[in-house]
Amino acid sequence: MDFFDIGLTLALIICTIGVVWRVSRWFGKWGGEATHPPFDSPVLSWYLLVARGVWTFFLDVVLLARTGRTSRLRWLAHCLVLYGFMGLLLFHAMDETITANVFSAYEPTLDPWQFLRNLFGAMTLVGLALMTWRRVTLRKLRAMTLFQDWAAILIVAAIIVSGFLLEASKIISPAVFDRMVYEYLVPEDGSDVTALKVYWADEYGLVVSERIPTNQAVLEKGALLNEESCVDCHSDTSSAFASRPLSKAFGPLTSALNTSRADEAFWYFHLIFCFIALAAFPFGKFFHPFSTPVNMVSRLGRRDGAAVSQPAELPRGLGMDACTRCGECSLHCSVAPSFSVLGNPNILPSEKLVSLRQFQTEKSLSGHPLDAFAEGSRICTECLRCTDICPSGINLHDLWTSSRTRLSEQVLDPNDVIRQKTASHWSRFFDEADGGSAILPPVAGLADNSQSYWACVQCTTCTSVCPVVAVSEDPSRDLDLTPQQIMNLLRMGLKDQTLGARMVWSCTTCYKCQEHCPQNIRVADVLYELRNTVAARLRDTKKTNCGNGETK
Amino acid sequence: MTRDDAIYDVMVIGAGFAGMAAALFASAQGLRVVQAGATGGIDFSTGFIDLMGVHPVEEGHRWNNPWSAIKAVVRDCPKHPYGLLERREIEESLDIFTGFLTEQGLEYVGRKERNTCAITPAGTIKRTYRVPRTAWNGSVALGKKAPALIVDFHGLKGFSGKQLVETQQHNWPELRSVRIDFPGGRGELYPEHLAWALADPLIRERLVASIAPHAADVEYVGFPAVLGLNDPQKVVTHLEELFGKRIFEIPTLPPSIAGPRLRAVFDRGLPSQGVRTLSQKLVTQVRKMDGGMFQFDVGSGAARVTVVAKAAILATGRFFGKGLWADREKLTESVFGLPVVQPENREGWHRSEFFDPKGHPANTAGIEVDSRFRPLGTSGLPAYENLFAAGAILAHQDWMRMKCGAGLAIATAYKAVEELNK
Amino acid sequence: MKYAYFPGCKIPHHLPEYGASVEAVCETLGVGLVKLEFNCCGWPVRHENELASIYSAVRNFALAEEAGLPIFTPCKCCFGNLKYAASRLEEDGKLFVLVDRLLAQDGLSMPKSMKVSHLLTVLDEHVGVEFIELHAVTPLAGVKVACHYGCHALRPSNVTGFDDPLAPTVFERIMQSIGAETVDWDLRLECCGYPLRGRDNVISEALMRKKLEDAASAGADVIATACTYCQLQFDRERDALPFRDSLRKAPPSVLVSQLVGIAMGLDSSVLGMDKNLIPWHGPGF
Repeated sequence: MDFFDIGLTLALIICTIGVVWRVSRWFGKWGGEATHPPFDSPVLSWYLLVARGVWTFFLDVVLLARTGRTSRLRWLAHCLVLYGFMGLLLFHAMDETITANVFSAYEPTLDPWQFLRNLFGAMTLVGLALMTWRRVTLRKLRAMTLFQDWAAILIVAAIIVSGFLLEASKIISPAVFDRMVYEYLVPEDGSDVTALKVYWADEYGLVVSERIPTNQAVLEKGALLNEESCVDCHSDTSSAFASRPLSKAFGPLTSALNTSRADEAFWYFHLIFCFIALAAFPFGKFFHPFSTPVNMVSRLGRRDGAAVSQPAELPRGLGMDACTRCGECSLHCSVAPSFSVLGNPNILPSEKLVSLRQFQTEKSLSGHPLDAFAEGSRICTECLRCTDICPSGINLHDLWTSSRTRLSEQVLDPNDVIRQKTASHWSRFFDEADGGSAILPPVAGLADNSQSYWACVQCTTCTSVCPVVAVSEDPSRDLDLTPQQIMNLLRMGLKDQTLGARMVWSCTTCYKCQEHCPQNIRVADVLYELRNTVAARLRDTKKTNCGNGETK
Repeated sequence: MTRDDAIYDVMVIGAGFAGMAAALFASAQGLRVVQAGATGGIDFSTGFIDLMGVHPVEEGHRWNNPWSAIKAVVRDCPKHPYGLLERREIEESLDIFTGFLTEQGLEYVGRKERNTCAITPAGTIKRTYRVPRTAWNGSVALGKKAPALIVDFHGLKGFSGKQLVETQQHNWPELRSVRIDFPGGRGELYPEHLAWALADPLIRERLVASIAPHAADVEYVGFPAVLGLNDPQKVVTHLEELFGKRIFEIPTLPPSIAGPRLRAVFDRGLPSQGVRTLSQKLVTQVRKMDGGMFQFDVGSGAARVTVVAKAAILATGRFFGKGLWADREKLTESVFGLPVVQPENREGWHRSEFFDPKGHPANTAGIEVDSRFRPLGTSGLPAYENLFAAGAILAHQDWMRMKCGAGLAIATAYKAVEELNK
Repeated sequence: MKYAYFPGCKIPHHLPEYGASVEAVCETLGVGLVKLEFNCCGWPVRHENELASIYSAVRNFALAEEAGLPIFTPCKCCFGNLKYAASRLEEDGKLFVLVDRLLAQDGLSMPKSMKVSHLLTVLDEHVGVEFIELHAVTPLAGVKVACHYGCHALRPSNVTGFDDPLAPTVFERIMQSIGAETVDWDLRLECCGYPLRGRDNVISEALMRKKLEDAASAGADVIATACTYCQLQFDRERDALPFRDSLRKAPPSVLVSQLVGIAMGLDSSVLGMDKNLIPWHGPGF
């Protein structure tokens, strides 16, 4: 077994095991409830199902229609990489199994193959360059870009670039020329080899270090010899429109490259990169060329939150694997401005998906990252824009809602945390937790300002117009404090005693209290602010790990 | 619909009794009216319409005939605003006012020549001129000393049947009380919430069922005023049907719902009379324009509105209504900066005893008006040709102790509108 | 008359009939709606963090100003929060600086004016009830409508400047212009209870129950809503009640745009009448 066989075998083993492992995770149990209505999933007959599947494949996979909806630049880049790389993969990398069998006269150095190889390579490179440019220039996208995103671009680029270098170094290499001559030319005399060499140096880009005669007669002879022995397998290297100029660009390095047999080194590089890519295929976003089309076809082109449930519910893990980390969901996310303020990446769908994978598949999320994930999940307004825009057709809405139950069991939101214990417990807790004022969220600051209440005459208007007090059976039991009692405690500077009161958390924000107050006290605004304060202080106590910002 | 660029005939500043009455009278006379004002006097009222009850206040003398009382007041305090009014004007104003209330479904009753004795939540008797229909049976029962039961509820503050009975035990021996759990309500109760609950006929039935055993031998049953939000008569009628007894309401301590019921009538009724209401907004600035018209900024911030009016009626009340403002040294008028009749210095504002029967001089402070109810400027002449004043902001009266608040507000508003429209 | 259309987060997928009927009615009445990619109005996150909420709101104003259009929204909670943010910026200089900085990071600049109108105001002031009346080819004669005002447009009135907070009339005026009869009901201005969904479902449901029962006893045939969340509460959440619950028999909740659309003679499927889970079997459809 030589290097090629060992490398390929190893890469294939890793790839196969990885794919099996990865696909097996698609079918993991979620336990969450299915997406609730209003998304109707009509029952389709099998032939309609197949027809829609084929149509989706054509539209979304072949034509990349979903990618086209996001941005033209992205679509162009993706098309270039998809068609370029697939072209290389099918006719170049697998030439012995595919191309040679279909085209009997196939030779890699013949046109159109030589030209196509350059074309596909160039397409891929241009596509990758556009992708890089997009990730660098879009500020938000740059911030979201992870190592695996760059890694994917770099490895593919490395394959292509090493391929071009390999071809270019072969073009200039006299050693390669000599080998070919040794194998395919039966020289009549010594000048034949020289004539051919002269011709190749003149026409095909060969670079020779020894002095060779370059008169017309020798050239003509060389041309004749080329015609006899070479052209059946070799087109003019000028059709290798990328590699040939590259070979010229070597310039002063040329002879060093030739003497050091750079072509052999580049061959190794090219193969190593290919093997790395093959082995990496089941990992991270490298897998998306497989998982994404499978997911898109299985979604039958739907863009809403409906679960496509025929014939059997499709595994949610497939959806998570279909993410290409293109970041479109986050660029269009409705609550992205909250991310700008709170700085929690889990607010953005693409990043939340990373946490979701850890939470759901790997069960490895805990502590602060888990809280951050829960906060991101909580802030989502379920606008479904991410689901609609996702170029991979992932039913993100279904992923969010189906994980929410288990998540809310593990991490309570401030409202649930407060409701677990009594108001007096929280009064003591907040009283003892120091640094309260330092971690206040930037809010109106009404609660701490005595001027907010100076005019309060405790007339109980706020309480008597409050609909929440009105419908509660026993306000002192159900709500702890009434609005006017909260105002009274605040004006006495006893804010900590109000923070856990159910009234603060069961305020329905109808603003009747504030509207009817004869003294213009901003009662409802103050209650909002108290909830903000608790959210900030709980976040802080969790972060500093001083307990009681509890998880069940 | 009224537009922002409209010029109004009159701007009514204030949404208490005087402001509501002025807006009502002015619109009834066909004037284009705009009104501004926030929660204030009317929301905290008992729902009774006093005309004149007590004089002189230091003696606490109560009058059965309000007209005689007015005569006596005007004789003893000639500057009292009633001195600027004729009986005909007062009568007419009250008739229109209560007529409007009745028309809107909140019926008021009383006698022409006599005050009615009404029961207060403390159990004392107060002389008032008009009471809501739903309180009327209480006065009848009181007059007849009929066997009656006062019901109160666990958790409702500021209303105690027991206290009421104790206060009245010598005067009204057949008065009893019972405290029950309000159906479906525990802990603290608030009048508005009870009224919400009683909108449900089932709750009324449960209420009657729990009172019935205690009310076998009484003719009348009195409740705190919580019987329905905006249509108490409907609830009272239903209760009477279920009970076979006469039912009446006694106002609770403010904020009761008797005040908000009155307010709701105007909130609903004035816009349909063509009044543009700028509720819950105070006048923040006023400018005099060429030609004598006023331009008002109403409200602040994003919701600020600017309106132009040919004339204005100042009905901003005293301190709670924010018509008068007390700083460290003096009392000022808050919209126009008019001169305020007041004691020389702060020491003179209050007497040393809080419950001094004579009352406090700060409580007769206010603005001086001419015979046409135009506020006087520093020169002693009307400050503006087209500015009129009505209600509690007028000087030389202590409406709270004299028990003349609503009547004074309504009658002066009437007169101010009459003068303005001349 | 052109506006930047702000449907908010819930309409596109959770209440599509509101979006569909609003767009259909606006087209019929000549109100131009331009679709921009707005973000969340910021109301939901206001329980969590005020700055996040205000920044979300102001960012929308910045986007609308770039397009040179005032914002139009059919949702009262969106309307209320956009108004709230504008008023907070006006009163708080420190907040202004913070938001300005956040906008700059996003490549946006602080909008000079922050204009937003609710659907009802646009129908009343810009279209005009006379115009609506003129186009009401199939007036809703004999239909008794209980107008549900919703809280966040009405109050706090010094922030929202929507209508008279104690005695609003705009909704009734519009309903009367399409020939419907409006009923007076005690709890007209009370809360639907939706804001407590997920925080205190017991009280949320109790508030809804009170309101619906009151509307029923006032003799209403339908409750008219003009807010995404109120409709979600009275329709979707009500439909989640047990099958035998008497509340299902209380007047169905119909969106203002659906009612106006019916009067305009628009097709009931265009108005999404079939999407209402508590259906209204009104006249003529």
